[in-house]
Amino acid sequence: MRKQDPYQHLLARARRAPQKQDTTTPLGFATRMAALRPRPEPWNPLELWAALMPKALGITALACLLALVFCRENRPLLQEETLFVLADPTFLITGGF
Amino acid sequence: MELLEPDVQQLWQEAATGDDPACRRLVEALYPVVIRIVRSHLPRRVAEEDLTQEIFMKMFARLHQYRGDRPVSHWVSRIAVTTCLDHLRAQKRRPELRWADLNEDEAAVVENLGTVDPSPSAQDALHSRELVQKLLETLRPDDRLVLRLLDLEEKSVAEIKVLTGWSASLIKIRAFRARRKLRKTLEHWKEPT
Repeated sequence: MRKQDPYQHLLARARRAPQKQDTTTPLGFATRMAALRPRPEPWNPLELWAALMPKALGITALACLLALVFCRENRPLLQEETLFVLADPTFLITGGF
Repeated sequence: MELLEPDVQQLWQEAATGDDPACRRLVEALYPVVIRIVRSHLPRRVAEEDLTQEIFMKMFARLHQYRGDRPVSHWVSRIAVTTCLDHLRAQKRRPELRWADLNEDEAAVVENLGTVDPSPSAQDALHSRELVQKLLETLRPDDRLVLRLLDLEEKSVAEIKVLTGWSASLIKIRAFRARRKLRKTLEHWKEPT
């Protein structure tokens, strides 16, 4: 008798086994699936707000950080006197007297 | 009754608009495709109907992601295969199969391996299939899936690529590794003790 690869031999025999053939949909299965299916929810403007909010907060925080860095870097320019001149119009008229 | 692909495409379009009867008919049309995959790859302790239901729920949740670039049945088959694979991966423990674990019929199948047998009986074929199922369960989920598709269902590497999304070389490596392991187990069992 001729020798065969045991694995291939086993497979060849296994492939001959009858398989469960019934593939008809069980009664009520399709109706249940159609009823249970996830449906797209109607558009809600609050959802858009909720989605954009974290991004807006992030951008705001970044802007604040940049402003702080800018102030720190340019501190010599923002002298107290200059600020006073800019802030108090009477200083311009009286010339500081 | 299985529908032709253009009919399924039509149903798909109607179902995407939220039409209930179209959704029902779509489930009925795709059920044979899904149930065949589920029956082939059903993990232990998972009910056939639960898994089928999960696959259809995923299909409906992704209804709008289908682009129409391939048949609907292929798209759904991929969802079915990946869902089965996820369940197989979730079962961390793989049973070890020893000679002592085989029943009488399976042991007889192993003993008769390697000799030419032109027409095995239906019972022999059934026992052989059960033994293959048990052997496959000892493999890693990905290897098991590849070997089942390639060797039992006789699908081509190209078909498995479509179903799994894996590369041809990865599929071949997995098949080679898995076959080597199973061959080793069978040869070990056939060794005279």
